[in-house]
Amino acid sequence: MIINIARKELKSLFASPMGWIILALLMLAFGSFYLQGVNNYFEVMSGSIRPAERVGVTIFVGQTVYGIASFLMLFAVPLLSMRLISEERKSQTLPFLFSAPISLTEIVVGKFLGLIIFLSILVGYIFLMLSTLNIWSDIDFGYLIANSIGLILLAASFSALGIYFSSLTNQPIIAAILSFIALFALMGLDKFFGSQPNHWFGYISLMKHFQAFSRGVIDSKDIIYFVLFITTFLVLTIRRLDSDRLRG
Amino acid sequence: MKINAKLRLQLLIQNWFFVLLFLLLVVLLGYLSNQFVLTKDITQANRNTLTQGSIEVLEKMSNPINLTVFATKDDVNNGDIFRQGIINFIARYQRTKSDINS
Repeated sequence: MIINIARKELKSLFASPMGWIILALLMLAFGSFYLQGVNNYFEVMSGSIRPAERVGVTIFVGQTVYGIASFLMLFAVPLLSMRLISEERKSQTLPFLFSAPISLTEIVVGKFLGLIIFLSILVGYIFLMLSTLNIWSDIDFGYLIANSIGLILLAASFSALGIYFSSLTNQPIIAAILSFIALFALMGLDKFFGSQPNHWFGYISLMKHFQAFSRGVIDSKDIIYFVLFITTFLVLTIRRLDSDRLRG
Repeated sequence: MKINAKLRLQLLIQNWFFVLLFLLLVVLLGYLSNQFVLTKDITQANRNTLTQGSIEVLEKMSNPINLTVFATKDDVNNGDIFRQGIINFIARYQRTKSDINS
Protein backbone atom coordinates (compact mmCIF):
# COMPACT_ATOMS: atom_id res chain seq x y z
CA MET A 1 0.00 0.00 0.00
CA ILE A 2 2.92 2.31 0.80
CA ILE A 3 4.30 1.55 -2.65
CA ASN A 4 1.05 2.61 -4.32
CA ILE A 5 1.04 5.99 -2.59
CA ALA A 6 4.73 6.50 -3.37
CA ARG A 7 4.06 5.66 -7.03
CA LYS A 8 1.12 8.08 -7.13
CA GLU A 9 3.28 10.87 -5.64
CA LEU A 10 6.05 10.18 -8.12
CA LYS A 11 3.59 10.23 -11.01
CA SER A 12 2.11 13.53 -9.89
CA LEU A 13 5.62 15.01 -9.63
CA PHE A 14 6.33 14.08 -13.23
CA ALA A 15 2.84 14.97 -14.44
CA SER A 16 3.36 18.68 -13.80
CA PRO A 17 6.11 20.78 -15.41
CA MET A 18 7.31 21.67 -11.88
CA GLY A 19 9.09 18.35 -11.32
CA TRP A 20 10.79 18.37 -14.71
CA ILE A 21 11.87 22.02 -14.39
CA ILE A 22 13.38 21.52 -10.94
CA LEU A 23 15.15 18.37 -12.14
CA ALA A 24 16.49 20.12 -15.25
CA LEU A 25 17.63 23.29 -13.47
CA LEU A 26 19.38 21.37 -10.69
CA MET A 27 21.14 19.12 -13.18
CA LEU A 28 22.24 22.18 -15.16
CA ALA A 29 23.72 23.69 -12.00
CA PHE A 30 25.50 20.48 -10.97
CA GLY A 31 26.79 19.95 -14.50
CA SER A 32 28.24 23.45 -14.76
CA PHE A 33 29.98 23.14 -11.39
CA TYR A 34 31.33 19.74 -12.44
CA LEU A 35 32.76 21.16 -15.67
CA GLN A 36 34.21 24.13 -13.82
CA GLY A 37 35.87 21.78 -11.34
CA VAL A 38 37.43 19.70 -14.11
CA ASN A 39 38.64 22.85 -15.90
CA ASN A 40 40.17 24.33 -12.78
CA TYR A 41 41.87 21.14 -11.63
CA PHE A 42 45.07 21.37 -13.69
CA GLU A 43 45.28 25.12 -13.26
CA VAL A 44 45.14 24.86 -9.46
CA MET A 45 47.35 21.76 -9.20
CA SER A 46 50.12 23.25 -11.36
CA GLY A 47 50.21 26.17 -8.94
CA SER A 48 50.34 24.11 -5.74
CA ILE A 49 53.68 22.56 -4.89
CA ARG A 50 53.38 21.59 -1.24
CA PRO A 51 52.16 17.99 -0.82
CA ALA A 52 49.36 19.01 1.56
CA GLU A 53 47.80 21.17 -1.15
CA ARG A 54 47.80 18.46 -3.77
CA VAL A 55 44.56 16.47 -3.77
CA GLY A 56 43.14 13.91 -6.15
CA VAL A 57 40.69 14.85 -8.88
CA THR A 58 37.82 13.01 -7.15
CA ILE A 59 38.10 15.09 -4.03
CA PHE A 60 38.75 18.33 -5.91
CA VAL A 61 35.69 18.01 -8.15
CA GLY A 62 33.59 16.02 -5.66
CA GLN A 63 33.96 18.63 -2.93
CA THR A 64 32.64 21.37 -5.23
CA VAL A 65 29.75 19.37 -6.64
CA TYR A 66 28.57 17.79 -3.37
CA GLY A 67 29.01 21.07 -1.51
CA ILE A 68 26.81 22.92 -3.99
CA ALA A 69 24.36 19.98 -4.13
CA SER A 70 23.75 20.03 -0.38
CA PHE A 71 23.18 23.78 -0.58
CA LEU A 72 20.81 23.67 -3.58
CA MET A 73 18.75 20.90 -1.97
CA LEU A 74 17.93 23.49 0.67
CA PHE A 75 15.97 25.44 -1.96
CA ALA A 76 14.66 22.54 -4.03
CA VAL A 77 13.25 20.26 -1.32
CA PRO A 78 10.85 22.82 0.26
CA LEU A 79 9.47 23.55 -3.23
CA LEU A 80 8.84 19.85 -3.82
CA SER A 81 7.59 18.95 -0.34
CA MET A 82 5.27 21.94 0.09
CA ARG A 83 2.35 20.49 -1.80
CA LEU A 84 2.44 16.96 -0.36
CA ILE A 85 -0.24 17.41 2.31
CA SER A 86 -1.25 21.06 2.19
CA GLU A 87 -2.51 20.78 -1.37
CA GLU A 88 -4.62 17.77 -0.46
CA ARG A 89 -6.12 19.88 2.28
CA LYS A 90 -6.60 22.88 0.02
CA SER A 91 -8.39 20.88 -2.67
CA GLN A 92 -10.47 19.06 -0.02
CA THR A 93 -9.17 15.61 -0.95
CA LEU A 94 -7.71 14.88 2.48
CA PRO A 95 -11.00 13.43 3.89
CA PHE A 96 -11.07 10.97 0.97
CA LEU A 97 -7.54 9.91 1.77
CA PHE A 98 -8.46 9.49 5.46
CA SER A 99 -11.49 7.38 4.62
CA ALA A 100 -9.53 5.07 2.33
CA PRO A 101 -8.67 1.69 3.90
CA ILE A 102 -5.08 2.66 4.68
CA SER A 103 -3.49 3.87 7.89
CA LEU A 104 -2.13 7.38 8.38
CA THR A 105 1.37 5.95 8.76
CA GLU A 106 1.10 4.40 5.30
CA ILE A 107 -0.06 7.71 3.80
CA VAL A 108 2.76 9.75 5.33
CA VAL A 109 5.50 7.20 4.72
CA GLY A 110 4.26 6.66 1.16
CA LYS A 111 4.36 10.36 0.35
CA PHE A 112 7.80 10.63 1.98
CA LEU A 113 9.12 7.66 -0.02
CA GLY A 114 7.81 9.12 -3.28
CA LEU A 115 9.77 12.29 -2.69
CA ILE A 116 12.90 10.36 -1.67
CA ILE A 117 12.78 8.32 -4.88
CA PHE A 118 12.52 11.57 -6.89
CA LEU A 119 15.50 13.09 -5.03
CA SER A 120 17.57 9.93 -5.33
CA ILE A 121 17.34 10.33 -9.13
CA LEU A 122 19.35 13.52 -8.63
CA VAL A 123 21.87 11.84 -6.32
CA GLY A 124 22.25 8.97 -8.75
CA TYR A 125 22.80 11.42 -11.57
CA ILE A 126 25.57 13.23 -9.66
CA PHE A 127 27.20 9.87 -8.93
CA LEU A 128 27.09 8.90 -12.62
CA MET A 129 28.41 12.30 -13.68
CA LEU A 130 31.40 12.05 -11.34
CA SER A 131 31.99 8.42 -12.35
CA THR A 132 32.72 9.59 -15.90
CA LEU A 133 36.02 10.91 -14.53
CA ASN A 134 37.04 7.26 -14.32
CA ILE A 135 37.58 7.26 -18.10
CA TRP A 136 40.89 9.12 -17.88
CA SER A 137 41.71 8.77 -14.22
CA ASP A 138 41.50 6.27 -11.38
CA ILE A 139 38.90 7.77 -9.10
CA ASP A 140 37.97 7.06 -5.51
CA PHE A 141 34.57 5.35 -5.60
CA GLY A 142 34.48 5.01 -1.80
CA TYR A 143 34.53 8.79 -1.48
CA LEU A 144 31.66 9.11 -3.98
CA ILE A 145 29.58 6.42 -2.25
CA ALA A 146 30.05 8.04 1.18
CA ASN A 147 29.03 11.41 -0.24
CA SER A 148 25.99 9.93 -2.00
CA ILE A 149 24.80 8.23 1.19
CA GLY A 150 25.26 11.50 3.06
CA LEU A 151 23.42 13.50 0.42
CA ILE A 152 20.45 11.09 0.37
CA LEU A 153 20.21 11.17 4.17
CA LEU A 154 20.42 14.99 4.12
CA ALA A 155 17.72 15.28 1.45
CA ALA A 156 15.56 12.78 3.35
CA SER A 157 15.80 14.88 6.51
CA PHE A 158 14.88 17.97 4.50
CA SER A 159 11.85 16.16 3.09
CA ALA A 160 10.71 14.90 6.50
CA LEU A 161 10.78 18.44 7.86
CA GLY A 162 9.07 19.72 4.70
CA ILE A 163 6.24 17.19 5.07
CA TYR A 164 5.74 18.22 8.69
CA PHE A 165 5.38 21.89 7.78
CA SER A 166 3.17 20.92 4.86
CA SER A 167 0.81 19.20 7.27
CA LEU A 168 0.50 22.34 9.39
CA THR A 169 -1.04 24.71 6.84
CA ASN A 170 -3.34 24.58 3.84
CA GLN A 171 -1.28 27.05 1.82
CA PRO A 172 1.62 25.33 -0.01
CA ILE A 173 3.61 28.57 -0.25
CA ILE A 174 3.51 29.12 3.51
CA ALA A 175 4.69 25.54 4.04
CA ALA A 176 7.58 26.14 1.63
CA ILE A 177 8.66 29.39 3.30
CA LEU A 178 8.40 27.92 6.81
CA SER A 179 10.36 24.81 5.97
CA PHE A 180 12.98 26.86 4.11
CA ILE A 181 13.53 29.12 7.14
CA ALA A 182 13.66 26.15 9.52
CA LEU A 183 16.13 24.28 7.30
CA PHE A 184 18.30 27.35 6.87
CA ALA A 185 18.47 27.79 10.64
CA LEU A 186 19.22 24.09 11.17
CA MET A 187 21.98 24.18 8.56
CA GLY A 188 23.73 27.12 10.17
CA LEU A 189 23.27 26.29 13.85
CA ASP A 190 26.89 25.27 14.25
CA LYS A 191 27.95 28.74 13.07
CA PHE A 192 26.28 30.42 16.05
CA PHE A 193 28.75 28.75 18.41
CA GLY A 194 31.52 28.76 15.83
CA SER A 195 34.05 29.85 18.42
CA GLN A 196 33.49 26.64 20.39
CA PRO A 197 33.36 23.82 17.84
CA ASN A 198 32.59 21.16 20.47
CA HIS A 199 29.57 22.95 21.92
CA TRP A 200 26.53 20.65 22.28
CA PHE A 201 24.42 23.19 20.39
CA GLY A 202 26.29 22.41 17.20
CA TYR A 203 25.19 18.78 17.51
CA ILE A 204 21.71 19.71 16.28
CA SER A 205 23.10 21.21 13.08
CA LEU A 206 22.40 19.16 9.95
CA MET A 207 25.53 20.37 8.18
CA LYS A 208 27.88 19.21 10.94
CA HIS A 209 26.70 15.65 10.42
CA PHE A 210 27.01 15.85 6.65
CA GLN A 211 30.67 16.90 6.98
CA ALA A 212 31.78 13.45 8.12
CA PHE A 213 30.22 11.89 5.02
CA SER A 214 31.81 14.52 2.81
CA ARG A 215 35.24 13.43 4.09
CA GLY A 216 34.49 9.84 3.17
CA VAL A 217 33.88 8.54 6.70
CA ILE A 218 30.73 6.61 7.54
CA ASP A 219 29.99 7.22 11.19
CA SER A 220 27.24 5.44 13.13
CA LYS A 221 26.41 8.53 15.17
CA ASP A 222 25.74 10.62 12.06
CA ILE A 223 23.53 7.95 10.50
CA ILE A 224 21.60 7.63 13.77
CA TYR A 225 21.22 11.41 13.95
CA PHE A 226 19.67 11.55 10.47
CA VAL A 227 17.41 8.55 11.14
CA LEU A 228 16.22 10.10 14.40
CA PHE A 229 15.60 13.43 12.65
CA ILE A 230 13.51 11.76 9.94
CA THR A 231 11.47 9.59 12.33
CA THR A 232 10.82 12.54 14.65
CA PHE A 233 9.26 14.65 11.94
CA LEU A 234 7.36 11.77 10.33
CA VAL A 235 5.87 10.79 13.71
CA LEU A 236 4.94 14.42 14.41
CA THR A 237 3.24 14.60 10.99
CA ILE A 238 1.26 11.43 11.71
CA ARG A 239 0.19 12.83 15.09
CA ARG A 240 -0.83 16.10 13.49
CA LEU A 241 -2.96 14.36 10.85
CA ASP A 242 -4.43 12.08 13.50
CA SER A 243 -5.62 15.02 15.57
CA ASP A 244 -7.08 16.55 12.38
CA ARG A 245 -8.98 13.36 11.71
CA LEU A 246 -10.36 13.22 15.27
CA ARG A 247 -11.58 16.81 15.16
CA GLY A 248 -13.06 16.29 11.72
CA MET B 1 -17.72 8.41 20.79
CA LYS B 2 -19.17 11.64 22.06
CA ILE B 3 -16.69 14.47 22.47
CA ASN B 4 -17.26 16.70 25.47
CA ALA B 5 -15.03 19.23 27.26
CA LYS B 6 -13.61 16.71 29.71
CA LEU B 7 -12.67 14.21 27.03
CA ARG B 8 -11.12 16.99 24.94
CA LEU B 9 -8.89 18.01 27.86
CA GLN B 10 -7.88 14.39 28.38
CA LEU B 11 -6.97 14.03 24.72
CA LEU B 12 -4.96 17.25 24.85
CA ILE B 13 -2.98 16.13 27.90
CA GLN B 14 -2.43 12.72 26.37
CA ASN B 15 -1.11 14.25 23.14
CA TRP B 16 1.29 16.58 24.93
CA PHE B 17 2.57 13.75 27.11
CA PHE B 18 3.20 11.68 24.03
CA VAL B 19 5.11 14.46 22.29
CA LEU B 20 7.17 15.18 25.42
CA LEU B 21 8.07 11.53 26.01
CA PHE B 22 8.79 10.99 22.33
CA LEU B 23 11.18 13.93 22.19
CA LEU B 24 12.85 12.70 25.39
CA LEU B 25 13.33 9.28 23.79
CA VAL B 26 14.85 10.90 20.69
CA VAL B 27 17.27 12.96 22.81
CA LEU B 28 18.21 9.86 24.82
CA LEU B 29 18.89 7.81 21.67
CA GLY B 30 20.92 10.70 20.26
CA TYR B 31 22.96 10.83 23.45
CA LEU B 32 23.53 7.07 23.43
CA SER B 33 24.61 7.18 19.78
CA ASN B 34 27.40 9.54 20.82
CA GLN B 35 28.62 7.13 23.49
CA PHE B 36 28.91 4.04 21.30
CA VAL B 37 30.38 4.97 17.95
CA LEU B 38 31.29 2.77 14.99
CA THR B 39 33.18 4.39 12.14
CA LYS B 40 34.30 3.10 8.78
CA ASP B 41 36.58 4.91 6.39
CA ILE B 42 35.61 3.85 2.87
CA THR B 43 37.93 6.06 0.84
CA GLN B 44 40.30 4.29 -1.53
CA ALA B 45 43.51 5.42 0.17
CA ASN B 46 42.06 5.43 3.72
CA ARG B 47 42.68 9.17 3.92
CA ASN B 48 40.94 9.50 7.27
CA THR B 49 42.68 6.58 8.96
CA LEU B 50 46.18 6.46 10.51
CA THR B 51 49.04 4.59 8.88
CA GLN B 52 50.27 1.26 10.28
CA GLY B 53 53.29 2.90 11.95
CA SER B 54 51.18 5.41 13.87
CA ILE B 55 48.76 2.70 14.96
CA GLU B 56 51.66 0.64 16.38
CA VAL B 57 52.94 3.65 18.31
CA LEU B 58 49.47 4.26 19.73
CA GLU B 59 49.16 0.61 20.75
CA LYS B 60 52.31 0.92 22.84
CA MET B 61 50.67 3.64 24.93
CA SER B 62 48.49 1.73 27.36
CA ASN B 63 47.29 4.60 29.57
CA PRO B 64 44.67 7.18 28.61
CA ILE B 65 46.15 10.26 26.96
CA ASN B 66 45.08 13.76 27.95
CA LEU B 67 45.83 16.61 25.58
CA THR B 68 45.58 20.23 26.65
CA VAL B 69 45.60 22.70 23.78
CA PHE B 70 45.56 26.46 24.22
CA ALA B 71 44.11 28.00 21.09
CA THR B 72 42.50 31.31 20.21
CA LYS B 73 38.75 31.22 19.81
CA ASP B 74 37.58 30.55 16.28
CA ASP B 75 36.13 33.48 14.38
CA VAL B 76 34.09 32.04 11.52
CA ASN B 77 33.65 35.45 9.88
CA ASN B 78 37.39 35.87 9.52
CA GLY B 79 37.89 32.27 8.49
CA ASP B 80 39.85 31.36 11.62
CA ILE B 81 39.45 27.66 12.32
CA PHE B 82 42.20 26.97 14.89
CA ARG B 83 40.03 24.90 17.22
CA GLN B 84 38.12 23.17 14.44
CA GLY B 85 41.40 22.28 12.76
CA ILE B 86 42.81 20.76 15.95
CA ILE B 87 39.59 18.80 16.57
CA ASN B 88 39.67 17.43 13.02
CA PHE B 89 43.33 16.52 13.42
CA ILE B 90 42.84 14.68 16.72
CA ALA B 91 39.71 12.91 15.42
CA ARG B 92 41.83 10.55 13.33
CA TYR B 93 43.78 9.49 16.43
CA GLN B 94 40.61 9.15 18.49
CA ARG B 95 39.15 6.75 15.93
CA THR B 96 42.06 4.34 16.62
CA LYS B 97 42.54 4.92 20.37
CA SER B 98 39.29 5.92 21.98
CA ASP B 99 40.74 7.12 25.31
CA ILE B 100 42.47 10.20 23.92
CA ASN B 101 40.81 13.17 25.61
CA SER B 102 41.20 16.80 24.88
